[in-house]
Amino acid sequence: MTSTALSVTASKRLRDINLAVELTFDAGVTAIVGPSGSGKSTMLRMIAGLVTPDEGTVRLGDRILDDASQGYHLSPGRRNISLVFQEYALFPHLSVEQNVGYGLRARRVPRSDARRRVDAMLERLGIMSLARERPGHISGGQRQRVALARALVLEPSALLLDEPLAALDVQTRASVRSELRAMLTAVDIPTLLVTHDYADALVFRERIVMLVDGLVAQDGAHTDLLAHPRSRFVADFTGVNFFEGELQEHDEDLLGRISLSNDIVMYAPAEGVPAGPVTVALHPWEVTLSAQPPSGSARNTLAGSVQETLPLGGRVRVTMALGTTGALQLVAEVTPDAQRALGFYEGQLLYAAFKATALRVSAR
Amino acid sequence: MRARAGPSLTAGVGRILVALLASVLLLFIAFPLAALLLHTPPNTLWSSLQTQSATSALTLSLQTTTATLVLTLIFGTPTAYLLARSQFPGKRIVDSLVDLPIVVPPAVAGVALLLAFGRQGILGPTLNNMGIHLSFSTPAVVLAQLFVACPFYVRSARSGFLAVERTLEDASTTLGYGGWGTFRRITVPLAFPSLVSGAVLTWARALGEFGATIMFAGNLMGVTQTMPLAVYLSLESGDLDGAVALSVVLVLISLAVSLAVRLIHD
Repeated sequence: MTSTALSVTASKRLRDINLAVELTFDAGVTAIVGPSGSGKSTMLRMIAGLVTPDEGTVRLGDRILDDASQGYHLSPGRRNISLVFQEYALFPHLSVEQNVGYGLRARRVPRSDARRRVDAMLERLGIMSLARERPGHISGGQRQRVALARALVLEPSALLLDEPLAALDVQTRASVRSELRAMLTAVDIPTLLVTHDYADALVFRERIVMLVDGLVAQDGAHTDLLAHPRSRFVADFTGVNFFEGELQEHDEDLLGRISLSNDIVMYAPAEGVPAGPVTVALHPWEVTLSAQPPSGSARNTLAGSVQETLPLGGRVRVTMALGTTGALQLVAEVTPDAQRALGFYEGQLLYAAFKATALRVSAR
Repeated sequence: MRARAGPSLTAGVGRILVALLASVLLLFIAFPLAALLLHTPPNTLWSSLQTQSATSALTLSLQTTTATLVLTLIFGTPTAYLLARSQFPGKRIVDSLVDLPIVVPPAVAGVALLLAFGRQGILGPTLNNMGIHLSFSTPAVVLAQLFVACPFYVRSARSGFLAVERTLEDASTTLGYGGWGTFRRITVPLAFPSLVSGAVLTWARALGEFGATIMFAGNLMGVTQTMPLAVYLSLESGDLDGAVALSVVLVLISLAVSLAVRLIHD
C-alpha cells in the first residue's frame, strides 16, 4: 500500500500560526481534527495544490507534487487528488450531471466515455434522478453526494474532505455520517477528512490526527488518544462519550431508540440510519446533572452514580456509572456553580439529562 | 421598538405630504418627456429621420458606440477582474481612478483628451509622426465615448466578479481547468448579469455622449457628428422637427435600456 501513500513533510507560515507537519497517509480514512484556526484546512489545500508550501515536500506514491527546495509545484488539476470543499462548492449554474462531469471535461475525456462514467457514479450514489437538477434545488445531504460524485468520478489517487458534515442540519447528519463511513471505507485510497468536531471524527476512529496551532498534537486511533492523551488539550478534546448500541426502531418523533445495554436506552435523531449496530457520541458539555429527575425538555434522562470528579479549568468533569450494573460510564462537564449546588461525592445518585439532538449516531 | 411604534412617514398626514412631494418630482420628469414625444406627429417624425444629417448621425452613433463597447469589453473585463481579485499597493487609488470619469464633467474630459492626444497635446507630435491624426476624426469620437462610458462597465463587472465565490474557482482548478478555463466556465457565467447590465449602461452612456465629443472630436457631419451633436446642431440652426425626431429616438432607446437593466437584475 505504501506505493500509493500520500506524504506531507512541509511547512507554511500563516497569519497567526506556523503550519509544520510530517505525516504519511496510507489507504483508508484519517480524520484530521483540531479547533478552528489550527491549520487543518490549509493542510488540505496544500495537499490539493491550492496553497504552496514554504518548505518541504508533498508526495503521492513516488510522484512529487511539491518540492519547495526546487521551487517545484504541480498545479492542482494535475495531481489526481480530489478535494470536497466545505459547503461543497457545487457550481450553481450547472446541473448535477454537469457538475459531476466537469472534471472529466477538463481532462478531455471523450464525451461518450465521460457520459458513461458520470451515469455510473450517479447510479452508485443513488442520485441518478437528480441528474438534471440544479444544486440550488436539492437538499444538503444530496448536495454532499453530488460533491462526492464529482470528486470520485475522476478516480483520484487521494481524496480530501473539508468539514463534510458542517453544512448539514441535525436531522440529516446521522444518515449522512453513516453513508459517508460506508462510502469512504469502500474507496481504497488515502482519504483525509477534516473536522473541528471530535464527535464527528469518531465515525473514523481508526486513525485520528489532532492538529493544534499548526502542529500535530497526537496521531493514533481513538482508543490511543483516549487512553494516553499526550497533552491536556488532547484529553479535553477526546473526552467525548462514545457508546456502541443497537438502533431498534424509530418512534413517533422520528427519533431512533438505541439500546446500549439491557436497561439503558437513548433516543437520538437517526433518520435514514438502518436498524442494527450503531455508534453514539455525546459531548460532555451537552449533559446536565441534577439531584431530582429533571422536568425539562431533554429527551434523555439516565440515572447513575458519581464515580469521579476532576476540576478542569473553568469546568468540572464528572464521571458517572450508569444503570444497575454500572458497566457504562458517562462523562459530564458542569460549571463550578453546579458543583457547589450538588456537592458531588462518590456514589451519589444523580440524573444525567441531554437532548436527543446532542447525540451523534452512525451505523457501525 | 421605538422606531417601529413611532409615526411612520407612510401613515396619516405624513402620507399625504410624501405622496404630494413624490408626485411633483415624477411629473417634473414625465412632463418634458411627454412634451417631446407628443410634439411631432409620427409621419413628420419619420420623414425628419430620412434627412441626410439624421441618417448619417444615426449610422455614426451606431458605429462609434459599437466600437466603444467592444473596446470596453476587451480592456474593461481584465481590469474589473484584477480589481475584484487582486490585492496590490495603491488599489484604492486605482479604484477611484476608474470611477473618476463618472464624476468629471464631460467637457473637462474633452479638454483633458485634447491635451493628451490632440494636435497640440502631449502625444500629439508622436502620433503625428506616425501619421495618426486623432482630433476631429471618428476615432476621436470613440476615445471620448470610451473615456466617459467605460467606468460603468468596469464598476458593474467588478461587483459581479466579487460576488463569485472564490471556492468555486478553486474547485474548478482542482478539477483540472486552468485560469482561463475557470474564468470562462465559472466566473463569467456567474457574473454574467452584472457584465451585461454594465455593458448596456456603458453603451447607453456612449450613445448620449456630448460634451467630451464636441470638445475633442468636433462636430463634423458624417465624421464626428453623432446623434446628440446632431440634435444640438439642428436646434441651433432652427430645425426643431429634426432635433425632436433624433431626440425621440434617443429617449426610446434610453427607456429600453433602463427596462433591460431592470429585467436583467430581477
